[in-house]
Amino acid sequence: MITHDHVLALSALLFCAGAVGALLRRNLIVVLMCIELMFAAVVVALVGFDRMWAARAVADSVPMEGRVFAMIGIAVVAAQLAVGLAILVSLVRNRDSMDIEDARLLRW
Amino acid sequence: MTLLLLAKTLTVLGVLLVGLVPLTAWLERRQSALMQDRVGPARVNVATATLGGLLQPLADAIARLAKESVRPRGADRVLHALAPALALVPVIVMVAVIPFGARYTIGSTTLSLVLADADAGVLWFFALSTLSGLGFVLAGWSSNSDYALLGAVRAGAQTVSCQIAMALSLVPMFAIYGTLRLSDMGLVQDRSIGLGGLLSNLDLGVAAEWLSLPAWGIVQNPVCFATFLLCAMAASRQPPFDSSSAGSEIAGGHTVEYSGVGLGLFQLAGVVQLVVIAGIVTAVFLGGSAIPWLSQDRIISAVSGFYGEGFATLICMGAHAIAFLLKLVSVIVLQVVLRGSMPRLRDDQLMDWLWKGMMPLALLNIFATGFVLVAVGGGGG
Amino acid sequence: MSAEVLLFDVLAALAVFSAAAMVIVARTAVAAATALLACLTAVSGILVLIGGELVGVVHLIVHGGAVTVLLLMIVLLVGAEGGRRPASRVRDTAFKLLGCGAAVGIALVVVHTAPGTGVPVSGVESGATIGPGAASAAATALHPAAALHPAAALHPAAALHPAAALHPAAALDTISGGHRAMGLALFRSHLLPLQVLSLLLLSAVVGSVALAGRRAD
Repeated sequence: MITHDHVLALSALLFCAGAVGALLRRNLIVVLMCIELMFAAVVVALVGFDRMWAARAVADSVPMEGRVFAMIGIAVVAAQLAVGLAILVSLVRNRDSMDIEDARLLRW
Repeated sequence: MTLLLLAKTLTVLGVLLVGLVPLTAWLERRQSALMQDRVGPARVNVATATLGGLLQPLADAIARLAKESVRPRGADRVLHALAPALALVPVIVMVAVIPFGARYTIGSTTLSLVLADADAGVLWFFALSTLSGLGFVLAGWSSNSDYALLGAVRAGAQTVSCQIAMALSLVPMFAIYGTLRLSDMGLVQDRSIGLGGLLSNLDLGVAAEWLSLPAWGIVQNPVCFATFLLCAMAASRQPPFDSSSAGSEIAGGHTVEYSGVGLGLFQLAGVVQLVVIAGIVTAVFLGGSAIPWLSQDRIISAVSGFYGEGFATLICMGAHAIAFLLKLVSVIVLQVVLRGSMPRLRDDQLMDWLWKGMMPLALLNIFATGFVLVAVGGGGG
Repeated sequence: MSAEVLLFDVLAALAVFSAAAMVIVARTAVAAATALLACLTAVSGILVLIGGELVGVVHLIVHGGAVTVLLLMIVLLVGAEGGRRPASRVRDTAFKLLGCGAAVGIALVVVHTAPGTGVPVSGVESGATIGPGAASAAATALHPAAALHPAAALHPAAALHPAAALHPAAALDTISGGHRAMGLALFRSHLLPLQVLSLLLLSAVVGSVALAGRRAD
């Protein structure tokens, strides 16, 4: 039997892997991939919570909120990634570099 | 239960790999040869009888296995080896969601002639076809060749664009059937739509019952059929949508650096994709395994008078499987006709066609179908 | 250990291993994208296992498929590699792979020793089971009616009718993955978020075309 704890632990591990990658890697596009990974962890957690509430609820009113939240989140992150990639493309065109250290225009 | 599933899986894989794949490969060569006024495969023979080149696929398979697999200098070792598998495996998995029969009850057991009766049926087809496209993109990148890289970029753009148009083009059918599950779509289509109002003032007697159309998807929404078939063909990079592997332009594109078994796997993926598209089109638009005007209940009740219920169900099952195979093969033939009769689209023309042609058409079709469903009252076709 | 837990373990191990490989081992962006693909595919499998098919398959379509293709395409288009680097030493790669393996080991230990509520998210024990087994069981339960009157039992009108909750088909759907329940939830009770989302997607499309479509000169 898979319990809620299993799901949450897995989600935490995936999120940590993504966070570490986003902080350590230098390649811009790999950083974007790590953000994507962190988001996948969030979806796992959301669906886990959804099932937790479903297991507690009475049989005839199964709530969908967690899964609806996950679906909307999937779409939002896809939009975010599209914009992120567009920024990346124009950045590479202007600076001719994929290194995250070269994108420091907004840093004080 | 597990044994039954194992038997079904082995049967389906056997029919696919021994029957349908060689047949499709042969159709692809022989039929296009006939359409283009060529001779077609004529070398492989059994005691000088070429049988119309029927043995050519076997010879091709042996040739692929016997030839050396060359890895070009500078290629990414792991990805170059992985890419053919990544292209082929999702396509084979797609076969699991295609129903090749309906649901039957014999005694107390229920038998569903589909390997994985997935709730999200068609959506698996979309997901897996994108994954398969990724295999082609990776193949092009890992070959360390400019032609292959060009092919990879085109294949990537094509995969993403086709997915959107393809998914949108199928939405009206979800609305009409009210389900995503392919086996349920088959059940819903296993009936007839009367021409009722049009002919009601004629005295037709018994014939009235036969003057009806099967409630197939192609009858209910032909625009949907056309857009989905074309988009699915484009998503599988078949001619005339094969600018990513155009032989006369970029020398074979993403697979240019492959030889031997790797090339064979890519070609197998292409052929299986043709069969899978035919299967999905049959399940969604051509009534699945349903026989027009003879619904499952009708067949079973007619035959069980002679042989008893159980045997009648078995006969119905066989008839359905044969009907499904016939429809499947005719969709394959239709695809080869389309391949042979249109010139290749340039990659920018393809993008134009997908984003400015197919996508608005699919959206328009969604709205039109929605209006009709609401006007008719609650949908259900 | 049931088959379900075994499947969960295998998928979780694959997800954690490929996530670690993406962060630690992958030197090129394409290798990272391939590892990401493996990870997201495994995550989709887990979603199917615990949350029903719909969320899993949508995640696979949007993120496992389309987004990964997009990332790869950008890598190919802008030449993100900056030329091929010299191959790293075999010993380094071996150590890195060892690190990924250790991560998977830790993951499995953590996942299976985590203290807490022990609330089941899956398995036949819970009332609201989601899973292939339950789906087929429910389908079997519904079957006699469906076999005799397919059109009646599966009548699509049930989906659009407000009284769908009373219809047996709707009950089946709540149990078995629930795209109908999901559709009702999205288009009835969460209509405003959905509309806002569509505006967001539109502005994202326009924004990315404006950003990336501009010529460099």
